[in-house]
Amino acid sequence: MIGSGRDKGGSSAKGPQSWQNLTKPTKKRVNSPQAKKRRRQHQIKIASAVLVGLAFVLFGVWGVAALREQEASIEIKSPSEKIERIIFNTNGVLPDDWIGRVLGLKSGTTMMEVDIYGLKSKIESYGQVKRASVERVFPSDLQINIEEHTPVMRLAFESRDGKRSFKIVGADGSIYEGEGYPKSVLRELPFVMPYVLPDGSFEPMRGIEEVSKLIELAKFTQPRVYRMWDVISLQNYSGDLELPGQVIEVRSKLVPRILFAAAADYERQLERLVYIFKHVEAHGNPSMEVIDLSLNGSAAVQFSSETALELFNNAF
Amino acid sequence: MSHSRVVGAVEIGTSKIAVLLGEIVSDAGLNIIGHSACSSKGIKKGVITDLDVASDCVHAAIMTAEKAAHTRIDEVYLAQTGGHLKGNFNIGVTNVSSEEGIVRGVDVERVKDEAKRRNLPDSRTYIHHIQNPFRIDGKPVDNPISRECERLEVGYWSVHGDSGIVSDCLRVISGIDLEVSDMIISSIASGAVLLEEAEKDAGALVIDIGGGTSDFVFYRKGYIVRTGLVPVGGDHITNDLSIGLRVGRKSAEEFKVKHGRAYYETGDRDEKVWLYGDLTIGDRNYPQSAITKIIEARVSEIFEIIKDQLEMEGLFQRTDIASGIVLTGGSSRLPGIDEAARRVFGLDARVGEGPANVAPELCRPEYSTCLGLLHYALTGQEDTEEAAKPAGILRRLTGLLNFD
Repeated sequence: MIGSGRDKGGSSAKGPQSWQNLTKPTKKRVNSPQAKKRRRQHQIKIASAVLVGLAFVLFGVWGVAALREQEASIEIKSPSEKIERIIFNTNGVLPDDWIGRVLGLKSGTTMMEVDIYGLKSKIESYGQVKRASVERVFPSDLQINIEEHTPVMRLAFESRDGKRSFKIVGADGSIYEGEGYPKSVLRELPFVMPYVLPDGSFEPMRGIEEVSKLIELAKFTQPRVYRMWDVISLQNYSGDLELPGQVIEVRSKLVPRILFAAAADYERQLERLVYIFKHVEAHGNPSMEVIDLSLNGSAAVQFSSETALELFNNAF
Repeated sequence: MSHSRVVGAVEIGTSKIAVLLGEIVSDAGLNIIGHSACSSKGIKKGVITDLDVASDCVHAAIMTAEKAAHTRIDEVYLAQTGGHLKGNFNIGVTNVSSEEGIVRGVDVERVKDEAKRRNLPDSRTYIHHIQNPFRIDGKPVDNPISRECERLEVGYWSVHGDSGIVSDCLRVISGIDLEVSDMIISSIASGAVLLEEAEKDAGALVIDIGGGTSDFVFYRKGYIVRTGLVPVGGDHITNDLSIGLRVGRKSAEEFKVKHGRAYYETGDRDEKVWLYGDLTIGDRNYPQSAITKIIEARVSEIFEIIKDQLEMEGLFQRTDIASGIVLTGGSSRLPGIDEAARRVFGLDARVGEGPANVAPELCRPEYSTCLGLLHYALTGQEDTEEAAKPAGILRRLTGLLNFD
């Protein structure tokens, strides 16, 4: 340290008459060349410091932005979160456990490990599914939406060893193993006797849309009549509406054969059918063999031979 | 958190301008990081006579020191000298206010204010109020607080200068965008660095013989009791030699530096000294005795004037100056000047030496004032009791936020 401690007693002058009140000279500042040079150097230094500071700030901002961008891309590319939940929506009857079985995802599978296009194909390969969508809902959900076929008929098979099995026929003619349908629904579905192709096969069922229209119309407009339908026979319906004599045959508990003209006015045909039932019921409800509604502008009823004989005798 | 500030100690002298740069770290340590000195222009007897020319010199010296230190000065401590400086001794007296007769802080403040109350003419401005010992019922004490007495007194040696001259000095510094943090007269600054505490307590007279003036400070019992100035310095010695030997000022200055002595010895009688010493045409020799006698006469005159000033005020008691005379300033380098002082004052005398922990080139007497300014930059010159106050929260926070 320079010197030897503090002097005894203060010595700095303060107060209104001290030199410190002279420190703000009102006169013009003395401006020597050296002072100008020093001032200029200081200004350059400050400007440089500001520029460097600005550069640092910009670099920092750029760095943060780049880092964030990098973090974002990592999120997309990385295995990310594990799948926590599968959100399954269907317009049909397929149960939740079915989707679990079909997907077959292992525990701990992450969002980005899932091949959503593969899963969609896998789900749509199942006959009951008309179309499906698979979506990742970040951070950890997988959403699957399914549209199922509407069942209209049942198809019975019998194997060579005599074992019987059933398949469902959808409104668009698709045939599939039905899963999840309540028994009451299945019981209501009539069986179908398909049109057998010349080579002995019956798939795919062509023109089934017309059959579905008839069934759906009967189901909603004449449910009592529909419930009596056991079998829809397509033996005389090839699906090709251009061909003449295309008939949809219904076998019911009341009448063994009811013949509908394909691609015709089903509503009118059903009304005639109901009329015939009422008329017949009013006349002692004789047993009928065939009701042919496919005739153009009229309907024909064929009674059983005993009933016909009884009717004939009563008539004369 | 440690912070540092760069302090510039600036002495605007008649013959030279000296600048020392010190870095004060955490208000606890000081490193001298740069210095410069250049010849003065536009200054006579310590007073600025040409503001623009003087500013050029001062600014050049400051910039040279800054360049050497590779930094900028934050604040300036400025030495003040010149014949315009005067002083007067004022005494404050008060009766102790408490019923028990115990001196309290409020009494001390009141007596101090009383002592410093004297108004100056508008053309004058105070530079220092130097406190002397308190007296309680006539007895001198350092700290009167809690002492029992009826009457409390304190004396102040107040130094004041011409407002215009002081203002010019401030304008020179503000011209280079710096502010003066404190102003200290040269002799006090030199005394602070040349004397030990014990020497101040024993009593000492420090005489700073500059180019145009000779300043002095008189310490008694550790207190600065007087400061003063004689408007005669080394330049006058040069002038005397020029006239006495009939040579030019430059040659006279060379004689003073090379062959000057301040005390005549019998051996000087036969000794001859050459003007140039290189055997060139026009070179002549002069008797050493003539040179010595001229210098001795002027140096003795300076000492006599100082002695007379002290004696006139009744302060010159040899028993009060046990540490003797300490000489500093450029002219103190004259051989035999201590002997001259010893003869005039009848006291022990020596040439002051700079602190041991300072570089040798800064220990020269020319830098003693600037070293003293740095000493005050580090320690301050506040009252003891004020300085002892703990720093307030606001002050500490301000210190923390000081990024300079």
